[in-house]
Amino acid sequence: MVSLAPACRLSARLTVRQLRRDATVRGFRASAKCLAAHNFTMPALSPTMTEGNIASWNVKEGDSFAAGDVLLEIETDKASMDVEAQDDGIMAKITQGDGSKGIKVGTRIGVIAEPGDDLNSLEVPAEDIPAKSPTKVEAPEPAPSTPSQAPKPFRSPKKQTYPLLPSVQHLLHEHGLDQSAIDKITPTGPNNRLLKGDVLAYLGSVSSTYPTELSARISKLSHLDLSNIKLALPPAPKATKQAEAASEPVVEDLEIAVPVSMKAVIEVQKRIQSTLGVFMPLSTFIARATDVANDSLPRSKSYKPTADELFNQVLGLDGAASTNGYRGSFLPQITALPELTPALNPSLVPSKKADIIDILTGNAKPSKPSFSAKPSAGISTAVNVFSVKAPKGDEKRAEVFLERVKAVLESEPGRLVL
Amino acid sequence: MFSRALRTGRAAPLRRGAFLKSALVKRTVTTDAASAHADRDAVPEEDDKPFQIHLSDESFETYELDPPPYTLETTKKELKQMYYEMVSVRRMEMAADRLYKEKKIRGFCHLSTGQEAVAVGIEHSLTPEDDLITAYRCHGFAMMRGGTVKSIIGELLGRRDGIAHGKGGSMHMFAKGFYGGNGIVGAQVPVGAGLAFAHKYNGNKNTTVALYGDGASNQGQVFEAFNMAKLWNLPVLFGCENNKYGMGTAANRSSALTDYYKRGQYIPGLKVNGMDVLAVKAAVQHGKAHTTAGLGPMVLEYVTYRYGGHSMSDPGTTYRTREEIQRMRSTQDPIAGLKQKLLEWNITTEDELKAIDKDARTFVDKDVAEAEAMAFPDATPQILYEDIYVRGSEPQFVRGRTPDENYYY
Repeated sequence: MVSLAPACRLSARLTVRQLRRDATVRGFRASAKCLAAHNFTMPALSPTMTEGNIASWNVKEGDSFAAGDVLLEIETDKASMDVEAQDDGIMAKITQGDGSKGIKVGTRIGVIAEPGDDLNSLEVPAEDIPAKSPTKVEAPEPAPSTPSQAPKPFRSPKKQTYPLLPSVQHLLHEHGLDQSAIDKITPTGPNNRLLKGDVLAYLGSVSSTYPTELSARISKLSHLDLSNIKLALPPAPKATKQAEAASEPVVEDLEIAVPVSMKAVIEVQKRIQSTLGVFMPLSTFIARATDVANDSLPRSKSYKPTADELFNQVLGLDGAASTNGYRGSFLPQITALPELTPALNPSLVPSKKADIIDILTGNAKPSKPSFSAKPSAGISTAVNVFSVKAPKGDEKRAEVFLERVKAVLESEPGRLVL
Repeated sequence: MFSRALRTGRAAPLRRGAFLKSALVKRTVTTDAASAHADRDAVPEEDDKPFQIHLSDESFETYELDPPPYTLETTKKELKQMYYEMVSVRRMEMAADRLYKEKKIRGFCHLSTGQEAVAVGIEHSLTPEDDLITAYRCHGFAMMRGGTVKSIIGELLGRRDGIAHGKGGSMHMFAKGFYGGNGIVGAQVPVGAGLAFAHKYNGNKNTTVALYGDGASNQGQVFEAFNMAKLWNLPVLFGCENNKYGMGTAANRSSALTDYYKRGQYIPGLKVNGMDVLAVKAAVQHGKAHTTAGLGPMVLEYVTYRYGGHSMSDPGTTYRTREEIQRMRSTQDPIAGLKQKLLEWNITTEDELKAIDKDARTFVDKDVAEAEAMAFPDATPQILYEDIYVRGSEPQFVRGRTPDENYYY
């Protein structure tokens, strides 16, 4: 629009010059010299409309129209509306043609003349630039001072505009002070109100500075003191953090081990082979026992509840969930005890032989081979050590898990495969 | 058995009545603005010499009332004055329309373009001691009751020197003998009855004109006011300005009985051609004589038409056709109608009327320009809290929203 305006003005000026020349050439006017051509500006068709597009003009330049005739159709972002003429007139000029987009309210879109005006002698009025915004035009008012600013130490006595407080009135009456005395007392109350303390100070019953101190104190306490709030420090560079992390002692996983006899398993395995003719590898038994044992373990101490769980806790729904327990994901590592497993496949024997005491006390190094290694019928007899690594806080879970594995494999392994 | 007999016995006359009514509908009050006639020879030379005008037979319809005289005594001067005033009101409303579209007037703005004859006609049959109260379409009435164009436009613009110091806006304008400008639909009617009660109580020979729209005529409080007014025979002229549409709903889609002058039931009614300023004057003159004679209230219905939408946010063409508006505007316009009569009766010349038009226009334009130059009220508590009470009768203080907002006079 800004770029359009000078162009419009230029074209208007050129037209006027042309019109003037025509008039001088013709040398006469058909009607009285017109005075009252006026700008037709973009109307605001709703209180929220700021700009609009011109869909189409229903009149042409030079057409006369009557009050109530539709002059043009305007599209806004909400609707398209017809603009009616309020008065009879002639459309002297159209400055924004059909299809003009985004015309601000108040911008000139045409010039209207009175009925009977001679268009040739028409003075096109200058476009009044619409005020950018009414709020900007007004001088910014100084911010009103806050009513409860800290009282100055010595305020001059001020005429009381408020009715006196009952306590003040009583005190004045009691001491026989009259109206002229009131004006001499320095008020310390809000909005310069006279308080009982002011009168007492004036009378000398309390220290003369006391009311001022008190009002300063009240004014201080009436605001939340945010002055000593500091911005949070920016996060420290990553490198130093990593260094710190490295220097920190790593929480070591604990290893928990339980000796489990595979005797019952092997018996069941043999029985199945003899009756059904199907070979059930040991790994199947162990995998199923693991699966069963992982079910509904007690919750880890380091477990952080999720938002949903916290919400349920608030609603008192957490009891129901906790009865089911929490599924674990332990995977036991199996070590055959060397003295008890003479037939053990050498590949599965750990390179360094672990002492049972070490194992039981948790000092043993984790053994490399896992039960997921190719199962061999070789681990057939006697006791294997099942061990799991548990992070700190999860020992209880690991213990429960291993107890269950042991119970399942030793007492009724048949149920695992049936 | 008995009840059934009763029911059939009652149904028959009702049906007959309905039939009769449909036959009667054809003969109704005209909305022709130029229906009066006068003898050209009877029109005197002098401006001040009274002469008689004969109103059309179709100017009135009555309910339980003898029709007012169909002759009206007036002078050339008064007719010209009426014309000037109607043109001024229209010019002012057009200026308000322009200012609203320039976003200088904000908020509510209900214009009465097309209804000027009601405001002007009523004013010409009242004295300054009579009271008038109306709804929110009040600019014309405020002007007729003594408000200047400057103060009314200034009020619309929210300026300090507006008629209500910029605090009332379009709906709340007051002047001596003019009690607003009321925003609540129908609420002004009981207030009008109260104003009439004051006249009766004080023994004044004055009347109160309480106006409402066809939309408001279905409000319960209107009927409550009717009841008390008739009970106490108050000198009040209830007036329904029937412009055919209550907001965007046609009268026959909202009202079970569209004969608003019969709504008083036990109050005599008079339906008037509200497009003819002379008929309005004759009717209100008659009504005033009726009420001040102690005969109690009267319900008038001014059949009129508004050219614009209900308010500035209503384009006004979604519930009626543009052709209907244009037909009313071109054939029934109150200003054009009076103009035609003035020329026909040889009261003025075309040039004189043009001069009056121009005069009214320059007067309004000058006042609007002055109003635009007026200052806004200061944003101080003193200005905010003034005029809550009659000056000098204020209490010690007025409560604010919080104790520290309390204002002490």
